[in-house]
Amino acid sequence: MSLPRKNRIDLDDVEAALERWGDTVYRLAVCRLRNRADAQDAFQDVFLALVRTRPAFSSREHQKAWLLRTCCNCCNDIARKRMRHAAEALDDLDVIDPAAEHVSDPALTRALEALTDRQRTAVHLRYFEGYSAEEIARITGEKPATVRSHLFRARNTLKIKLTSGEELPCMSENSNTATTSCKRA
Amino acid sequence: MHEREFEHRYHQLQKSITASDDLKSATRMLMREAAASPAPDASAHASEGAREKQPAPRRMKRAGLAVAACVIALLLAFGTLPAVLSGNSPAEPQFAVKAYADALDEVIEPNDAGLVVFPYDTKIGFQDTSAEGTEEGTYTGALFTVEGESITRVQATLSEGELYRYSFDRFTLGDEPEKARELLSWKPTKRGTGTYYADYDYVISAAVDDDLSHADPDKQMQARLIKRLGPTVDLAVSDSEPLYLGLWLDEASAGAGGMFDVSALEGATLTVTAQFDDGTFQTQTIDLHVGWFACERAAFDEGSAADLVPVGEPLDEAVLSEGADACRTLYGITSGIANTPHPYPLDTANEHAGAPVDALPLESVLSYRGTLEPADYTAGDGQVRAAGEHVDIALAESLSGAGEAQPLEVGLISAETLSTLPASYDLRASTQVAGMGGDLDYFNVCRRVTHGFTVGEDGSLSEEFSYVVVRLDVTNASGEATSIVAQDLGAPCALGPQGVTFSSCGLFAASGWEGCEGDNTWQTIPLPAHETRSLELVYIVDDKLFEAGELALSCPAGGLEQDLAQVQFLKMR
Repeated sequence: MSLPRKNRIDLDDVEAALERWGDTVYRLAVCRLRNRADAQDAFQDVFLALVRTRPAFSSREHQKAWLLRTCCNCCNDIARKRMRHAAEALDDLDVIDPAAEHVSDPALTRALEALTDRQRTAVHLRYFEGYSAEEIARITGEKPATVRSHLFRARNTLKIKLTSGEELPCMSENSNTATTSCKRA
Repeated sequence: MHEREFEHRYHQLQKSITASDDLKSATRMLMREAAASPAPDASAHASEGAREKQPAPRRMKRAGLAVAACVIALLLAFGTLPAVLSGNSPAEPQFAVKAYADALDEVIEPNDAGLVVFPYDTKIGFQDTSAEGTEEGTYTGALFTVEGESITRVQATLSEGELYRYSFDRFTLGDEPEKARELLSWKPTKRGTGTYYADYDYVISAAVDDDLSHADPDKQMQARLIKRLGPTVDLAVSDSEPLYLGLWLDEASAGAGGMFDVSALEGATLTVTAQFDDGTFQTQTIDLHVGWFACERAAFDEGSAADLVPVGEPLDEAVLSEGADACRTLYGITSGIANTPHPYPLDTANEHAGAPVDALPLESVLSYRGTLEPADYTAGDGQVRAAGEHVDIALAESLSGAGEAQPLEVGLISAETLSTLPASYDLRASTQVAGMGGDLDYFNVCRRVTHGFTVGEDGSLSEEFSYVVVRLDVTNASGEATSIVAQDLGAPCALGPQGVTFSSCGLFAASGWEGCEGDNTWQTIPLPAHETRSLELVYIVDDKLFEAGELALSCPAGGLEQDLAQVQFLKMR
């Protein structure tokens, strides 16, 4: 069933989304691009896309997922442009310096630098946003198995041992295990 | 570093990253300009088609939810639109199709509006990946059961998608430790194997909140078991085993809005037939729709994802008040009741019941890593110590500590190479195998893929692999108690003319925490201030390591991922 499209953008909705999810989008952009200027560009591209495309959302979580997906796409576009202009841009990059005072955990920041963009994105969506591999796959446009592979390799690189104590590589594909709780036996 | 610690540190790191007020202000200005400008070219926006299918955005209050997911409820209205099927007289309902709220472990009775509200636990809705990693489906988590007197069989057909059976297995850890091990170590790569859960597509372990530790023999265990059956099911029922069925959508039908988008079920039909012990039947037809509902916040605990419960009847989106809690949900209306058998063929019922879907191949999540890591680095004279000497190391930079450096003094007492595991080690309890629920077969399957070796029941190793057993003294040189992760202390390597070669097989077993206080595992060892522990570390290495140079222990472990100039090498011989 198609519904009549709104004639005007409801700026209240869009600006509320910016307030609600602005930091969320910005963090993902920083995580993905490791460069503040590029992250700011991606941030603006995402919310402009929200104004222009007027997607329909069934919930705030749906809206958040859309924004994160769009953020990934915008970051990919920016990364491609960066590749094309790599030679001229290298000196000007506002690269985030893990040794800078404002970075609260330089060691961890340095460790994260060892990950690929996609691994870092998967780690961010998993450990900060709390998404499952399947949900991350929806956001990044990859296969869930690919996301699991990113997470597996990232954990390996970061030397993360899963909290359950189980062997890392074989635990990683079961995102459903040990994550649920119930109120009674 | 343990996952929980990483998560905490990552959260702290990310919380300091925020979009500045200037950036937000500038973006707001741009958005206003864009909103005031003419509508953009439709071709520039791929989501145009999707927009047509869904209602316009609606502001909803959903603050502070513990779990990121939208809420879907399945609402079934009974008696609101009764109809006649197949020429029979209108029939009185002899059974009821009711939603099941997994979060509450309860069947939900109809509300005042005559609707049965099904709070949807998003934790039991998930997407599936096929063995090839290509075909996906969605287990929506929308569950229902059938209630009535003297029912012996239930048949059901879903016109879009398929049905899956959802069941439980509850037991006490002390009664069935082997089953507990199988449950806790289940994963899609083990599907179709094992003693207890080989018949299921998915096995989900749920921690029961009984305030008991995970090792307490009285700990209650619960397995949630899922088996996709097909578009039509035909199942016997009994009082001892309640029947819960869920709605499954294939990849093509899954909504663009993510795994909880059940738009594809708009207009679908759920036909349910009960067969009674006197041989009679009744069939109810339920039309499924998707609509907007006002919602109330659920009084569930934070562990539940069922955060909003739809109330009343479906509403026109236009009448939803701005800022009110609302959600777009699935609901059903009973459109027909007749005392007739199931109208769809049953010869293909339960078509997937015979076997679980194919196990996810290990190769999709594991890959061969190699057994040696040659480094283009030659250790300096100041980095190499003879056997018997001590070295001072700090583990903070290897991310093993809680952020503070852990000054440790490490001394190598002895090292030997063995072809079988020392007798003091229980293969299933005190080695890496324990981390896989004691499942040696699965350990071997994984290790064959990742490193090319296996371990026999007697602790013997594949040819061309050996155990290296290292005995160390580790002293906490600081004035504060700390805990160390055994596998970060050191790793075997070879110091050769071409540089350092590391072993990538990892630590296989460790001992030495006996007598320590606290909740220890075989990997983590508490170490009080100024105290010394004697540890035994057992590694598996490729025999080619012995040919690459003099055997040594690199402290701390870390291989190529650390600053090699900071590593100390303790010769083993």
